[in-house]
Amino acid sequence: MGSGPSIKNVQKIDSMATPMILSMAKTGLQIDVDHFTRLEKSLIEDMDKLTEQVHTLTGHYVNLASGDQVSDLLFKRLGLKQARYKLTQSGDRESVEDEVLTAIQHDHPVVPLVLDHKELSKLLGTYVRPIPKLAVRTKLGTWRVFPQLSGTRVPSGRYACKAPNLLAIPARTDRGNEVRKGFITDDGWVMVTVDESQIEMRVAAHSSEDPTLISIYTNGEDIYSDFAIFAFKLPDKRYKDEKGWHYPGVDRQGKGPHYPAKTCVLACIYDVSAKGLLEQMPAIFENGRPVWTEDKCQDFINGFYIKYPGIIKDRRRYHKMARQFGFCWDMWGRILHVAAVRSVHSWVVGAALREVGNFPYQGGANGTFKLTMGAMWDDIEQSNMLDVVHPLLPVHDELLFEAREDVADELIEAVKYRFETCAPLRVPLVASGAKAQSWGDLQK
Amino acid sequence: MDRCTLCPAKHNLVPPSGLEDSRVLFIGEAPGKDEDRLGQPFVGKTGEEVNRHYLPLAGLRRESVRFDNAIGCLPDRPQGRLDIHRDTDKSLLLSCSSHGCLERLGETNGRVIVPMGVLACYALDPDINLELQHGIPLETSWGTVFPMYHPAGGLHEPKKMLMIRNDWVRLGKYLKGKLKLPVDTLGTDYQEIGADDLLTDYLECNDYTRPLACDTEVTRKREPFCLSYSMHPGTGRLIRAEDKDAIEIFQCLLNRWEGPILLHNWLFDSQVVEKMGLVFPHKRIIDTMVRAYHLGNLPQGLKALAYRLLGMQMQDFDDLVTPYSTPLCLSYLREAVNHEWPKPEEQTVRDPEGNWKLYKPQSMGTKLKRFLTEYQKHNDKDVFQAWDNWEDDHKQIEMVCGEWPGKSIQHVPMDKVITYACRDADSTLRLWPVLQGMTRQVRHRLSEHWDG
Repeated sequence: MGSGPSIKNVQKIDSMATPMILSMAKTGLQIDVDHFTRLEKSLIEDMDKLTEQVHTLTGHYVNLASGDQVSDLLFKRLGLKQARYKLTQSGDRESVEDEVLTAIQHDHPVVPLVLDHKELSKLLGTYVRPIPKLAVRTKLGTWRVFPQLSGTRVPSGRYACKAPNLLAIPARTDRGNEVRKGFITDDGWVMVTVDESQIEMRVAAHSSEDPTLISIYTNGEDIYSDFAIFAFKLPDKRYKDEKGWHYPGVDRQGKGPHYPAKTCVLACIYDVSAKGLLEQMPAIFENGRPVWTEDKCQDFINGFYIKYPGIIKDRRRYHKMARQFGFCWDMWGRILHVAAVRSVHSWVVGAALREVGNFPYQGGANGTFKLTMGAMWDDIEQSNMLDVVHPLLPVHDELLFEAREDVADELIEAVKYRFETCAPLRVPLVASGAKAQSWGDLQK
Repeated sequence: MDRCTLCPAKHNLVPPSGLEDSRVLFIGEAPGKDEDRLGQPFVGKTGEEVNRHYLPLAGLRRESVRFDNAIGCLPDRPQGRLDIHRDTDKSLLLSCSSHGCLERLGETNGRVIVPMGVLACYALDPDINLELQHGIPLETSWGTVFPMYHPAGGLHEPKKMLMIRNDWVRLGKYLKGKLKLPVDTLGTDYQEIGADDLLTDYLECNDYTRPLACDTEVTRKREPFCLSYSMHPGTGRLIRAEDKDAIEIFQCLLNRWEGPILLHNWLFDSQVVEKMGLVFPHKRIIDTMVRAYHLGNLPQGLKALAYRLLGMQMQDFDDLVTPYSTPLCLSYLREAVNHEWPKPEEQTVRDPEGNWKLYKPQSMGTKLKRFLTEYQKHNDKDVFQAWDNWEDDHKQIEMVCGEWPGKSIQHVPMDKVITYACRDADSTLRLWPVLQGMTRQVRHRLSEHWDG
């Protein structure tokens, strides 16, 4: 961990992780072809149901896969207005891209249905139909897909994946999970995952040296619940027992304060504007009015910076670095060029600085992840476990393996240990693991 | 100034502005709304960026240079932009530029012409490859041309500003005679090598500590086709994948190698060499693509890097393979069209009013006939793209006609493959010291303009 840009350091970190990535590219992931056939049928049925719901709401039958028809319905027949006027590339009608619709999802109940249809259509076209076609029959008679991993696409050092992009399967939706359930293992083997808990937030706490954040993580508390109590002005009834911290009044499961607080905390780390945060908030209507507005989101963001002022100071430090040198670097020395800070237009400079956003935190988190990959690879190789443990995929802050059932628990403990000891940060690192028969069944 | 024959004449003609006998002439793409209103090129937001940000980078002032546009008036298109991929827009560009800015160019001598953006470059010389040649002076029939990305690109996409700034810095250096351009002066000793010669080379080799660059080529089915390597700049050797004896000797060479082993995109090559039965020592491997990525201000493709940093001209895979694969694919389709293809099942779809309609998809025979008829009229039609569009029918056709030939290096004459494959290894070998030099500068010069 250095204080300046250091390509040598980054080269070292990246090359440590390379053997595991090569092994992943060679191993691929086993799939259940029948699961994808069943899922295709069910998604098509769900899409038909959405078409019916749109008809019930609007009185029009619309082919929701047709941009022309959706644009006509939303902007002509229903008279909705785009948040920011945007035409298609040919300029013949209003755009109905995801970002356009997400910005107006709070304006009419039909918009979330259209977005839902788009999500289903994307899952169908990107995963459910192509995955069985991309799969290769192995000598053992099983089907495996071999996604193409790349470590040179994302400036922060994260891995990218294509054919198919398994890293972009929606993370927290039931349907995304249904897709993941198609990735299975043989009898006697299990899927194993170990993920770094709130790693970007922990790196942010380390980098910003914010005393509140550091004390939260040192005490093993939950940052999202802590912020939820502050932002929603809830009575602070937190207590600790042998199972850990409890936050009565902060509902962690349903549509309670925990989810919006978590969304806001992550959005602030990413330097998202109030408008951007509004797009990420759930589209909930009460008495026909949206619960979340841009003003309310701005209040939440302001609240975050009041409670954790270290983050804004840290961001200013990175902005200063970017303005001074035309690039900034994370705690490992990885560089992000932001030449647009030299522009004469303040709006271009603003956009360039937003690019800096969470780069230092994502880059920092990614460094810890790669160090763990390198250390784990050495452990697996030195203990001759490659026959019973197969690394499968780096899913952002989570490592996915398939392992023989009898070594799975040992593997989880080993990866957890490596994650938790990979870097000396000001806050403790925590990892958790799980095992199941399919990727989608893993409960972290 | 007159209008060209295709001009819709809906907006004002914007004449060039600036010093008439200036040393540098900048050619933009087309006037925007501000330029249309004020009747001068580069006076809007982009103009402000050019005047106050980019021109000083090149050591120039607005008063000392001249600005013109490839298209004389605001195009009658959405957001005033022409699309180079549309035939109508391309015709309009060529008609307007030949009638306007190119006609005016004929009067100038000894000037540096700086076309900015794809449209301006295309109008001047359709062979300019902006991605490869931006910020590099070229000698053309118009004189010295210094192609650059359009300055507005950095405003729309801040990520592009780094490249644009670099181009302007390079322009300044060029005008002062300080721009060092890499020149490829080395010969091309590229050969195929068999087991006997490789064994001799292996036995005679007395320096295992220098860098060794390797590259692989694969067939369409991603099976190994050959391995190429280079130990000395300007040389390259190719080993066929099926030459097991030579591969075995090469493995002995790898086992003894103590210097860095260079590859461009090891993630890809690792799987190919493993299929060949080769084991590369991981700790010695240096991936030049990853090195370029870490610097963050370079292209990652080997051809672009070799051209820009070494002055090496390299052939594109598509340019190498397409002339040999296209005739094979066409005869495959001509054979396929003679078969009897079953009629696809009719489908029902719902119209906006909710009524069900019958939809009859095209049969494979009709699709093939249509493509071949169109190909006869326009032989620039992409046969490979057409095949990709029939993805759902691939299985059906291949069941009857056998495997689709596609683009494959196997179709190319071996002498051409040798040059192509060995040059990749050669360029990787030559690239490494340049990248190393740039890496060293990162610590010493905290600036975003690292020289090659």
